[in-house]
Amino acid sequence: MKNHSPHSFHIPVLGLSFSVDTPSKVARYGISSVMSIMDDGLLENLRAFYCHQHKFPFHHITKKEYDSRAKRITAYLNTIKRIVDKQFGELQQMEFKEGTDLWKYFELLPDNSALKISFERMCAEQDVAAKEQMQNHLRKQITPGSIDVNIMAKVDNPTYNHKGEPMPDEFSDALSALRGYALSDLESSIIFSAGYNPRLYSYIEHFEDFYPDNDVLKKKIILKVSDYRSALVQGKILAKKGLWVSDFRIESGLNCGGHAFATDGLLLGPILEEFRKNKKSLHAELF
Amino acid sequence: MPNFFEMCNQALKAKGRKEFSAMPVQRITAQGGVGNNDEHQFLLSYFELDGVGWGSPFLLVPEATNVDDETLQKLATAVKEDYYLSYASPLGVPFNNFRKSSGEAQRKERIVKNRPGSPCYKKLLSSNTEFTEKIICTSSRQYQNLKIKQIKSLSVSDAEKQQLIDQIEEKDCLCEGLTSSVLLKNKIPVPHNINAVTICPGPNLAYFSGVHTLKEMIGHIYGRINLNNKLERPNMFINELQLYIDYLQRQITEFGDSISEKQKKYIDKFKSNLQSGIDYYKNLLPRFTNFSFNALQLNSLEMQLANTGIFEEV
Repeated sequence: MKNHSPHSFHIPVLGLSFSVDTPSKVARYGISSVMSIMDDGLLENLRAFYCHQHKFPFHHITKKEYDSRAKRITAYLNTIKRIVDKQFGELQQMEFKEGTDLWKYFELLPDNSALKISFERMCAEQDVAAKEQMQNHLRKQITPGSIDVNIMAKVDNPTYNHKGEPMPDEFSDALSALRGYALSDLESSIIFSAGYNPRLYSYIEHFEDFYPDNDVLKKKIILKVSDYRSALVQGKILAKKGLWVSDFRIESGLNCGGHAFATDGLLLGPILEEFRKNKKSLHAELF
Repeated sequence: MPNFFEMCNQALKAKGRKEFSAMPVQRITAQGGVGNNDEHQFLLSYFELDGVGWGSPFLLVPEATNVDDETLQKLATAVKEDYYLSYASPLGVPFNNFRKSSGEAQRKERIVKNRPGSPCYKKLLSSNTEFTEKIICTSSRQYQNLKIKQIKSLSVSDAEKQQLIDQIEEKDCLCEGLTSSVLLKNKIPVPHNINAVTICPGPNLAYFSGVHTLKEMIGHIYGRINLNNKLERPNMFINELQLYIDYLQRQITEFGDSISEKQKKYIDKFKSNLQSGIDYYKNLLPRFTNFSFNALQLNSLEMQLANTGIFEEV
């Protein structure tokens, strides 16, 4: 399994657009962040902008094109991945010198992380040959942050073709967004938030990248849950489909941005306590 | 009963797929209202979390997120009261909102001009079929016009009518409002000329001010520097508890005298859950050595909880 970010924090999804390209700003420093992929029109607009900025070829995907929503999302995500790969590749080649992105990568790390400690050791090393060797080793050790996406599971309206006729289920807003992500080149996680959508969960089964290949999950599932019980219920539904939940993400019901899914008065402390107590049994002998 | 890992492998086997040879990583992470390094560390160490989400504070970091200059300046200089729980979302779910946004100004302006509601181009949050065959959005001008017309024809007092109309007009268009910021920031033309910005920070942003670099914000998370503003900040758990008590009071007020049996039960459960939360925090208190988790704050909130409902309809 790929290493997790060397940071102990991540940047969650912020509205439709506030973090829509955050990975292209922070992933090269090893920071994981989450983009909303709800608005394919916005993504298409931004893809045009970024392709122009980075001199990538750009072919507009019109709204009328068959399966345009999924195609636009895939194209956008591949563009962001390309930008991050390019940035990270350049960063790895940089000099260990204050002011470079490579330097910044280490500067930002938590002081107690293994990477930061190796970095400090390298800085203190006097022997030129040893120092260079340590630098090369550090260059190989670093990884970019994850380029994650978020889908609000229940924002799942049907779509209509140009004649105004309803399209089949898999063209609904959430399902086509999932397809857009599933068919992208990203090796990252998708976060399902805002409730349980059985049709969406079943649809995950159609995509190869969510299944293990030599224990590696190319695409991982993160479930945003409000409490322990919903983690159990939803985790089980997915496990029975052969799908592994790689991260249960608990969010405060009211002390959060945007839509506030208040609990029935269950507070964050006691909720986290339940997870803590059951951490082992959650994936061991519970049930 | 089998466990997740076994369940998953059984299902993989049944599908004729490769199974996991060992149990894959399953992380537990949390987010919402974290505001300083003590809290960040506490979540990681005491609750054994694998990671913590930091959202709204990054709105003040242009190196990480997209907030247009005008909105950014307003966030940077906002006060606590500018952040509030609104009914602006057409999804019908409470929505943490920002009073000083240009989206909020636009919504009010439309009401003044007697043209409430928004033109609807994206239709992502449509869900209503009260008046139409196809679903439409409750933030749309189409819906609001139809609904207001209906309210006006009701045989209730003018005051009641106005109250109902206010509720309808509180719904704001999020599809446009939440996307214009990134376009404005990058000078990309905004479709349909709707350039008002809606922004939805969590209430915890009240304790941050100014515009910061990525290095500064990460320094704050890891405790190298402090970016909290001068406003006295109770810890994240106390803040959440306060939000829940306010929310409870609001619901009780809304239910009013006509509260149903079901609603009564819900309120009772809500209260008892909050009380268990308070009890839990009281027991946890000795562990909170690093940050301001004082018994006085908890006691005063406990009193507030006991008094919810009493001051309704003054």
